[in-house]
Amino acid sequence: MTYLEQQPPYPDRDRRRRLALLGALFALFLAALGVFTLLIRQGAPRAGLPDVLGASSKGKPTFERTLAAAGRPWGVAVSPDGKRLYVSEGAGAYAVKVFDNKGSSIADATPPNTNEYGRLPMGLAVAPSGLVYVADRKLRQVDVYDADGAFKDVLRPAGVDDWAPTGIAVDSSGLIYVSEAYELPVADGQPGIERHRIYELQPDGAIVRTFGEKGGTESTLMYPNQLAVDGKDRVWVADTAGVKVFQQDGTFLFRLRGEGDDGVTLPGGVAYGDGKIFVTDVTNHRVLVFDASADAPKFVTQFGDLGFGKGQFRYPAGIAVSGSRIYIANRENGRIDTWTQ
Amino acid sequence: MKRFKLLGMVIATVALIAVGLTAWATPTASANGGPHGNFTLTTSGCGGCHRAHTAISPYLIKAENQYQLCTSCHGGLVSTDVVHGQFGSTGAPLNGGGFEQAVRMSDFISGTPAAGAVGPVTSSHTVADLPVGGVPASGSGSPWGSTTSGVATGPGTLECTSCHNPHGSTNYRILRDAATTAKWIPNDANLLNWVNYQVLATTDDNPPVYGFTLDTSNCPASVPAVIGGTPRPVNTAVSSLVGGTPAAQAGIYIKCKARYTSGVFAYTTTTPVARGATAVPNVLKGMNAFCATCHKSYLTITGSAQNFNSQNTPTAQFLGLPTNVPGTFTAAQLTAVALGTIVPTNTPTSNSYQTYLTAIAQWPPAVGVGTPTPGYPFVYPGTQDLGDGAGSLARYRHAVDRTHNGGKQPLRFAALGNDPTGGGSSLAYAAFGCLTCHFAHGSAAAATPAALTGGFAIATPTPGGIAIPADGPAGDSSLLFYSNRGVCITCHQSVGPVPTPTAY
Repeated sequence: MTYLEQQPPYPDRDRRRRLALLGALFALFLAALGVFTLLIRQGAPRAGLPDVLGASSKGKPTFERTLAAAGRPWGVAVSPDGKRLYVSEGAGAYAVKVFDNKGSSIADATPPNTNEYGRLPMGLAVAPSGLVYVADRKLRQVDVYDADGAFKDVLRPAGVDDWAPTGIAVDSSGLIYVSEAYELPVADGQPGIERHRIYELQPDGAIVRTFGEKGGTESTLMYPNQLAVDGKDRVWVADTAGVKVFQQDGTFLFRLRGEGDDGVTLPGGVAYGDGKIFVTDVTNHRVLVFDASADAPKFVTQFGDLGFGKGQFRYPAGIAVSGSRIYIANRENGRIDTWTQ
Repeated sequence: MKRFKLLGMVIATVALIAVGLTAWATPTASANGGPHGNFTLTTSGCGGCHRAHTAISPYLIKAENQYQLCTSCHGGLVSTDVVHGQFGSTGAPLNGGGFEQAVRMSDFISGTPAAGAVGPVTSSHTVADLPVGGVPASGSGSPWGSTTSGVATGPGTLECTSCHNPHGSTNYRILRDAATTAKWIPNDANLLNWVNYQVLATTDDNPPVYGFTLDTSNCPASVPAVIGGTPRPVNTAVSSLVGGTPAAQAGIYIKCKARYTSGVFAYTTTTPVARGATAVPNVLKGMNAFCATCHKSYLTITGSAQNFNSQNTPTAQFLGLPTNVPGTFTAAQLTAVALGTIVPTNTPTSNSYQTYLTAIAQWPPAVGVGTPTPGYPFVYPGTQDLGDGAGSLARYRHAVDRTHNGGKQPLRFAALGNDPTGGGSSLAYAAFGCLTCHFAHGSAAAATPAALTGGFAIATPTPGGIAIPADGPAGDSSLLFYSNRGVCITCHQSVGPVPTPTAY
């Protein structure tokens, strides 16, 4: 009897086994499709390959809750002990709202002798001392408040007649970094001024250094906004052309990629915590997370989507990190949302 | 063998899953660099506003509305803060005012306005999603003065891009460029905005003539100028450079300021029309014409019905066609129009921009169809309505787009200079337009009850007993530059010191 003439001893059984195997594989396919569909409906990012295929899902934050309401919030900062939240408003009272860690309002911090038409708080940061620094775009000054929002002082860079601060960061040593976008058109025969740069200031206003200039290249600045300092003392600057990273001495290092799923279209805020950099991508209504522990950042994950609901953003602006909690100024949704990682 | 088959089936299934899920996912685009132009072939700037496959608004816009998208930058971050109506670095009032706050110009002297000079707007060009009373506006409606007989404008939705081209333009503040003929589609509901490819504000071709220039290379030292005996309280003027004649000073003054004007200038008092009227050398340019794209009826010589909507056509009126199909004008007809010997037929199509374009394309006869810059004088679309609004009343309107000599003060955004067309005239002029009295974005001018534009009524009914309806909503400052009727006083009566025009 040839091979071809040989018959399997149990032909029906083998056929059933093959059919069963095919069925199992098909079921596996349907299950995977169903899981992915569920992920999409829950607001997982539509962009890019899903996590199930191996893109990193480690450290993907999850939505916790809406902590507080604020009028078109721009900047957000947290006290070192995590007990105070500070939010700069871009509407209504245009105040810096002070909340406790449960979201209860403590105070509205405002510079003296101003009203809602005379101030515009934007970037803000909390020093290790607990002092709160707020860049005011209309007043063109940095206001200093105590932990409970009482006005203390005005910070000005020594020897600078006029400036236009937009964003602020404070590093662990208390050094203050202020971004500036100052433009003075030509008038009275005087040349115009275009000054987009970063100040490094001591708490008394003494200038340690300034760096940066306005331009359209990778290493130049275009309306620098909010900024953060990482564990390597690198300065991460969000501006309208992307996130630019500098050494503390002002040497340009790199620009976060602006293309692809992990690219930032218009960064609104940037924060550092737990070895990671968090960037709000304003017009994509999401937050990107990068591992900043190495010299070159590595994209980790993204979270958030466009919408009004839980875990959704509409033009997210400032961002702050305290421990495992991420605070995001959900600008056009008028609220501060917290996520945990 | 069976194991290999099994392995192959597993691999195929996994691959199938991978392919399926990959197709399901939609990759995003993203952008870097500035969003308003200078796009190269390798640009990634489109992703700032557009998505090819996941857009949520027409024109593949990934934003649900433009106001929130645009104010992500123009709400305080960049210099032109149109939310608060102030220049970001200095706080000076913006030329266009602001949508939610603005500097109250009646309280503003110079420099950085005091807090008391900044207040909430009392009127605005209400773009979609502008918060009004805490509620996002729809942005829908018809513009005032838009429904002349014939082709009306709107209704439509007013957006930032109704007036500004986010992709960039050659104009001040990237106001929309004009296009060549046949691109304007009236009342096209599919278009995102009202103003498409219409006239514009522009830089001077040969400064200082009209329009505006950003050329500041020859800005002289600041010397207070005196024109017509009145000190000119602006910060850029020259009395030393050009011998001191007011006209010359005015011309130099223009050169150093970034402004946009109506594109109006005076021509000779001889041909083609002896009326001391004005003409636009290039009808595709001019801020008055820009505004009149929607506010058609307001571009008028003077307040009488059946006059042309512009001094661009001083005495002659536009001869419309009986249909909206572009036709042919004879040379004799065109000449007669220019000389004013033809009385127009105020047909519906006489306001047709299409018809108008046909006419100018044939003027002079040597100019081919589609040429955007024919000779002058130009016929601007639209005439004063014979009957307008309820009761078909003839309206009298304040003249715009005309000269104003011997003014008591410099006119805001006035076209200044001399007749550039040659013809032997050195007539100096100061021509005002829409923006002399109005802001474009919003105004914080006060509108006290005595100045209300709404609720208007006449004591004696018109013949037939028809009451004149209100001109506008109560309490609306109508985008006026000064509080209440300050714009009237500044020209028609001297009161106190001369106000200072805006610095920017």
